[in-house]
Amino acid sequence: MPASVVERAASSPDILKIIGLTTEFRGRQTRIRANDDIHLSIRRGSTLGVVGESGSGKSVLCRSILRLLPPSANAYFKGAVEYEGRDLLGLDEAEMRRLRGTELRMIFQNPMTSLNPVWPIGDQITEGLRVFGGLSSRRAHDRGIEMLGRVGIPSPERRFDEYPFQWSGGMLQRAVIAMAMAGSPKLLFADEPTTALDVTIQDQILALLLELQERSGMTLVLVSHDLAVVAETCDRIAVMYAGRIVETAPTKSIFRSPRHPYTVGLLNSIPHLSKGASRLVPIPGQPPDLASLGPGCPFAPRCSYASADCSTSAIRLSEAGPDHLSACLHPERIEGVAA
Amino acid sequence: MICANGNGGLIEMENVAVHFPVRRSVIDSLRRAPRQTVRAVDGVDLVIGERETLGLVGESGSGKTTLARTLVRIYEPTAGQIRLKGQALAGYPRLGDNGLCRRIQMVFQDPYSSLNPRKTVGAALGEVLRFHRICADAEVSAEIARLLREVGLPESTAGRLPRSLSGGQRQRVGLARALAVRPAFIVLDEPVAALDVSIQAQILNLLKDLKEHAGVGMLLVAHELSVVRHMCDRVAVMYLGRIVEIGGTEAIFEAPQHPYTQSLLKAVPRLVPERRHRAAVLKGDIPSPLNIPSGCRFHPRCPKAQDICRRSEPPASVTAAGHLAACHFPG
Amino acid sequence: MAIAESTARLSLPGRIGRELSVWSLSLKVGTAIFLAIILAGLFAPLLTPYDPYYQDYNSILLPPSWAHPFGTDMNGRDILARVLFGTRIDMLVSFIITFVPMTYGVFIGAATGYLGGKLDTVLMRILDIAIAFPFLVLIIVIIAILGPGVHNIYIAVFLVGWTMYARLARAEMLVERGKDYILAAQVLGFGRGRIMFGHALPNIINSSIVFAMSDFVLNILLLSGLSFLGLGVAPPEPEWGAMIAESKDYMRQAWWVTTMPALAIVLTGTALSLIGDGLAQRLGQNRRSLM
Repeated sequence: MPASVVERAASSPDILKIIGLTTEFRGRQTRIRANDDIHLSIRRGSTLGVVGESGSGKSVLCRSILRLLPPSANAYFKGAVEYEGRDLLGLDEAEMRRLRGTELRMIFQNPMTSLNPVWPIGDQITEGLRVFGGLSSRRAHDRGIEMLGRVGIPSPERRFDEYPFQWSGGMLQRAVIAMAMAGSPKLLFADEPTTALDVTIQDQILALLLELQERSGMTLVLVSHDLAVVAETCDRIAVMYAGRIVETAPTKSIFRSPRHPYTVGLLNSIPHLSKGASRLVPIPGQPPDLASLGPGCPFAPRCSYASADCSTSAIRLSEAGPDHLSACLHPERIEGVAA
Repeated sequence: MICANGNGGLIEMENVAVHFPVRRSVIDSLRRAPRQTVRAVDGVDLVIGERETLGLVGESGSGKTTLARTLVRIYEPTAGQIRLKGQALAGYPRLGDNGLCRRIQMVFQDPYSSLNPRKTVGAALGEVLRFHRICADAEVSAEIARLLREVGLPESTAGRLPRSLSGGQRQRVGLARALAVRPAFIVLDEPVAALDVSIQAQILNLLKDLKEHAGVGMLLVAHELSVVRHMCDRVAVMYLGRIVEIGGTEAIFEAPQHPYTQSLLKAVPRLVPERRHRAAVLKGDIPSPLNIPSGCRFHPRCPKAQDICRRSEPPASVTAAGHLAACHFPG
Repeated sequence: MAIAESTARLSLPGRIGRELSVWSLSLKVGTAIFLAIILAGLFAPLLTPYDPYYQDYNSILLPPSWAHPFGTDMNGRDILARVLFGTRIDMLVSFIITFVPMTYGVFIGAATGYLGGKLDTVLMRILDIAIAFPFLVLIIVIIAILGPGVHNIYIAVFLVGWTMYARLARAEMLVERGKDYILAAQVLGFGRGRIMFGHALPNIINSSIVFAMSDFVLNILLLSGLSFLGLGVAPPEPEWGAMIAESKDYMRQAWWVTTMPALAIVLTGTALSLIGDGLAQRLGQNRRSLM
């Protein structure tokens, strides 16, 4: 790898650039495009929120980038994922594993199943340090205790050797975060990290993630179905539907001037804590069956602004405002969010 | 202990407790380790009026699900009494026109396990109608169609199996099933928690319509406060087996009196594009119902805790008409 | 995809056609072979001119030929005829000793799994004891006490063959019992019996059916083994195992006498295994719901 390429990559404002990523699951009779022509740039040090419902492809996106899809999924990729001047999709597995163990980390939804129940927690946190970081057991142990303390576990020296069944869900998620942060990662994917937690614990975990991010300057990608969580924590939001990104913009722009009917629909249909008992405006219909998507915009069947060409013309992300991309063919028709 | 004034009690709960003994292993029995009990519901007083929708919120260990299930007699109260229209639940027959199964029904949380995978929607609904003799045999098909329309599903749904239905559609079927016996009261255990956001709104609107037109009282158990605010007349907040605050929805959300309610509301993410989370609202974990703290249950995490909070359980203070908070220092 | 809805509108051949199209190759091949075997047994008199019991002392130990496709045995009986008529015995007996214990085994397992409590503890201990003994040894002991013969085989297997089904059904019932639709049925007021057998049982029976396929194979082998040991069907009945047993002394000079019935056993076993695999996959497909 020529030094100049790496240098140039390191100084670019984007830590990760996804170019035309398509992930296709091929079954015996079906082909499902869980991600279709994804274009996304993630700025270094920022917090990106990826929002979508089930079937939107948001989890598959993270797993495609990190190449964590199981072989049984029979996934085929198109496009490129540029990280530090290299295409992640083209790397060999050993190098990918090294990256996953050090710079590109991911935490998952269910803390009860993210940790191995028969290993002590401390060992799980330090495993990456010993295998990839080259630290001795002693040094790794010390760093592990330090990490547990940083994520807010009281008496970390005593709890280092405890097992997952002895900890609560919130504490386990902290341990998972400690595990992810131990190697000082540059980019952290958090896939619904608080969905399985209670409200007050979710609050703690989100505060912790943001605090750790601020201190270390790492980039955080927060995937969630909860628009409120993402609204409060992210600089920028990407909205996904049926495997595509339909809108990306700074958080404020998404809320003040959404430029895609799906985003508008979401904002109108979510009960607000601050609003009283006004009638919700649901999005009619059901989320689409990915196996039987026609040409054109996948949201068209449910869209109140759709016209005939929406079902036939292919969609693309294009400029809909300053720093604001939308895949809608007719964003000018959108009136905005109901007051 | 909190009593609240509903408008004429349809359901009354008096000092209801539901405790579960923890099975001891042989070793613990030999060691004579003390028997542990999960005090899931630990002294609840509640009155729900006819046609009223009461929201019941709380986090894990609050006992809200256990309380909901005790109301439909999945669990029996260990202490206290539950009354329906003034008469104890235990005095009602299970079946028959006056039976509890005709009066109180339940809608479950998980749309993927709440329907029998092998029965078509029509067969499942028909079974309920026939078993309870809701209508004559000849009218069953018509009644099934009516129920499906009432929950916003096309008549053709009757011939379908659950596996061909989406989560939202299954929840509607679950609702239709509960409505089939024409109950006076429906308990809804987290009815939209497992649904996609865009579908939740459809179901919530449906519930609101039913509330207005079907004249059923509802107990809505939910952990999403926004859902509760949207739907309910009154809200009760539970913590570790007790109701810590209860009052009208607006009062609870605009002027919560109990520190736990205040923390809960502060902790919920808002749908506004402002970066928050400088510091977490509440520290520490939720205690387990196996080890309930002394005095006020919330005192280990309470920002306002004083000495008295450690020592004695706070009584219910009436902070406004119909608004009660169990705190030594409400407000 | 509204599969159920669309099949409701199809006519019967359409639905059968649709069902068959989902079948895996294993299931299709296995079922085809099995059906062929059953038909061969049913139409045995039409498929061979010989009487399986007739002993023609002029035709002893003849090798396979056009006149005798499977050859003849040491008593001059046509082996093809014996194999064909033997199909009736093997299929019938194995069917009975598989599906009868399955019926009450599943019932017992489902009931105790659902009801729990002392009943469940007692059953579990009985199961533990029964499973601790090697199945074959138990059967042999019982038959040794009662004497050989098909009816005693029935008694022996009915006594011990239900345990695996009870275990399977109980395990599945323990899982199923916690599902919300069962709770809903309780809240709706249905009685325990109705919930156990009307609601839960149809949903837990799949694993028992798949197991029954392997059990069927094993029971054919059991029957053949017992007959081989002289504890089962008595000669001159044309049971495959008995045929192998009585001809084992002639294996070297007349390989066809032992091999032909053995091939019948192998073919049947293979067909049933294929069906078992295919069924497991087919029934597993039913569980997958559309999200």
